[in-house]
Amino acid sequence: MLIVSLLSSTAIGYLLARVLLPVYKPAWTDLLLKVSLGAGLGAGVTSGFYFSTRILIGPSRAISIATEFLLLASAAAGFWLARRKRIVIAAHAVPCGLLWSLLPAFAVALALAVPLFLDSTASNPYGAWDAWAIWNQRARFLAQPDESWRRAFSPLLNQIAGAGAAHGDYPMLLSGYIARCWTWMDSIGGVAAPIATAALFSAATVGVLVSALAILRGWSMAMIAGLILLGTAFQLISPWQYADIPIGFYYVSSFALIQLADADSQRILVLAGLATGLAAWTKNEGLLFALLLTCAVAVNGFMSKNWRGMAVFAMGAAAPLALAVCFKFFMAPPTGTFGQASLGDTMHRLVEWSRYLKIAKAFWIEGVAQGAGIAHPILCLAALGACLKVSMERLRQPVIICSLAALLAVYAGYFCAYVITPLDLNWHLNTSLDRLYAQLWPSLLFLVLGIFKTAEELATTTLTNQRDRTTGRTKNKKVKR
Amino acid sequence: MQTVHYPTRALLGLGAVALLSLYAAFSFYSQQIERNKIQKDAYQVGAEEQRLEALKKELPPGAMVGYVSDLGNEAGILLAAQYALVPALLVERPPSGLVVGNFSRPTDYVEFGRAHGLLLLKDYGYGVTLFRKTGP
Repeated sequence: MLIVSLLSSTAIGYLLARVLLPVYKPAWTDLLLKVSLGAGLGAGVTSGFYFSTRILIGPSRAISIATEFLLLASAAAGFWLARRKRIVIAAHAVPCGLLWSLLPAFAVALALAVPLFLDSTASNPYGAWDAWAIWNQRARFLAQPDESWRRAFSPLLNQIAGAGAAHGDYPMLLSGYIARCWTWMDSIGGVAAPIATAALFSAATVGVLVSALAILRGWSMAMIAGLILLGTAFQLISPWQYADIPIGFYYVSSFALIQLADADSQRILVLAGLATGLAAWTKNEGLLFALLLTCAVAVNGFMSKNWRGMAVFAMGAAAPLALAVCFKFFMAPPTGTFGQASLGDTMHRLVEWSRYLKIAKAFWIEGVAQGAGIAHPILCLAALGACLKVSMERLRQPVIICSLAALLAVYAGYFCAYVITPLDLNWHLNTSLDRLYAQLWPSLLFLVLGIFKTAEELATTTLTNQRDRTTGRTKNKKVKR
Repeated sequence: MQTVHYPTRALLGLGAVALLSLYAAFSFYSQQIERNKIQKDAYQVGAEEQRLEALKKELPPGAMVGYVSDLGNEAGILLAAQYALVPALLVERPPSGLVVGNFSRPTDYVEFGRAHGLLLLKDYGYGVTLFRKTGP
């Protein structure tokens, strides 16, 4: 039944993607993009539906499954109505010549990542600390068939363990999705559902990164992005069953969909908005991201006089954002990290300069630890930048400027959160900073690799044995691809 | 016939980054595989589930229960117990008066209960007990 529940949510997301995205050629990019987006967006949508059904109707298994079938049927009907699609050809997504050799390299990286995920999961089937102490514990409450399901966001939850352990205010996407899977399975608490969810989001993140870059920039950037991501600490955090991988998925999907919309059709912005809203439904950081990215989309719309795009984006973000905000303001207990901090204390921390130094040092140390010595993703990006060069034409595009600014602002926002945290700063940094990097890597790779010139663009094609009509001689002709 | 030529610097860049990334992936892989060998269920969540299973079955549905331990409210142990006991909720002032005892070593539970205003209801073995509050 777990497989059926995963397939159901993925099918919903896939059909949504089919309705709103054109058909991309070559077929592998289309399939990978839509299945990856479908897996993550479907998980988010069904999680939100599951939670809303519980709130509005009650904790009934039959009703939860029935409403999801209705959702699936609606998505299928939408797909049927919009089945005639435009075709967008991603010419550079087809490998040529030596670039084929990136495929076996990517396959080797995947061949390391998959057994690593399995081995880590076999060693720690309950995931790392936050998985069983927060996300899966709340999922266990949420899946209860009686009124005790509300304990997932009770002010009493984990209060006995101290303020640092009570997280009833955290958004519900991950716990909701796992609880939904358990409800479908009619068996609460097994480790298979959280493990499968972790695998689903990890694979979907790689899938979106690779497929979106293949469509927008070509084969070489797609493969190299996948390779670099699998060479970061991302793959260590994947089996932890934390919400940081799902939120990273929604970040990179938002950026990818905004650029796909910019390159093709504005209606794709509905999906971008949906991914952004789902980020807010995943973690508190997602609320910051949603705010900043919405500002970026607004600025982009203002710069390019594209008001309709902003409205379409808002339409997609509205439902999950409303759910996240309603949960925060009307249901969640005021137990959040920053909820009980007084303004005076916060101001005092803001002018404590030693905190800035300590945080900057921790950001640096953790940043360095994200790679393996010289094999660091930032050094990889720098090397690629030096060899391929930045495309100034791309760097001047409003959508690129706004996306990079939004990501940078999120990073700065994380820094500021540490500055004002009421928790012990050392403890807070030590227990969370590595995960924040894991959230940002996929988006950083997507955006930075997206501004470089690609090998395909720099290539020249030699047309051999071309007969000159005037002289009748055979010659070779070089043309820019 | 077409032949595609990529600039050497582009190929060098892509090749170097591919090799560096593979090295990083392999490095993370080998380090984590070694770590996994010694960090098996580091917080003993699975073992805690087994220890508390019998007690969980006998708690009233939707119970809110107290918690005592010879280790105090050590977060890791307490949260693992909470995880195992869902849907029961561990609280400071249990309305039912029921209190879960979670002990790391053999203790005279009756005496421990008397000292803390608790009456031992059942000993489930493996350091797991159920008390009822005797005082206010």
